Amino acid sequence: MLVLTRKKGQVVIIGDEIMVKVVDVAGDYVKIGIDAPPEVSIRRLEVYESIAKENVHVAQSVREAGAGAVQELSKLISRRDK
Amino acid sequence: MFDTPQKIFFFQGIPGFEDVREYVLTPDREGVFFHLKGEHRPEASFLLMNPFLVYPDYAFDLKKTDQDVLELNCLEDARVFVMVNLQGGLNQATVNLLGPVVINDRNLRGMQLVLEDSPYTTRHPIIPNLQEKED
Repeated sequence: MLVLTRKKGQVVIIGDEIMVKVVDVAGDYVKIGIDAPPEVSIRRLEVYESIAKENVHVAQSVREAGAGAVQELSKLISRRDK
Repeated sequence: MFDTPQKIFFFQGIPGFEDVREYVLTPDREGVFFHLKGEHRPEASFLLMNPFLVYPDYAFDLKKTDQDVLELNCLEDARVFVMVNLQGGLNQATVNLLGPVVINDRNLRGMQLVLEDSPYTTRHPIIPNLQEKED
């Protein structure tokens, strides 16, 4: 990993189109501003990882639960919905 | 729409299964759940449902960048699903409101959003909400 030291207000350019600016630094928190083309997805890693982890659980639960459980829950929901 | 199995293309894959992009979406008999299964990758298999059946006030912003990924020109073409976790059995079933799955009706492109600054989590119970509705 490339590690750079930047001060508040300074900018890093990645490729031709992505700019990362250190907007503010306060204690443990660094506020960064990012300019990037729309096709570049920018996400907080923890949120993405929490969803990826949940998806693995969901896939596992689907394999383990079987069709019967799905059908039962399905009936429960459609009954309440009427 | 979606009464019969449909091929759905997830351009960015699904978090945790980034390399699986081609899926088949199949409704169950009751019409409540949908099975989303990786076309050649059965281990990438998810259970989806309409979130508004259990959380009628559910809402989130569909960002312009996400609309572009889906090539969504008109918000009415967006179908919203959430993933159902059945771990711990029927009574413990939860839905992931932090990562809704949005499918463009028109071109059958799909993506799972990763909501930022959202009040939701990955696990909201299904059953307690059903019981509240009954009272």
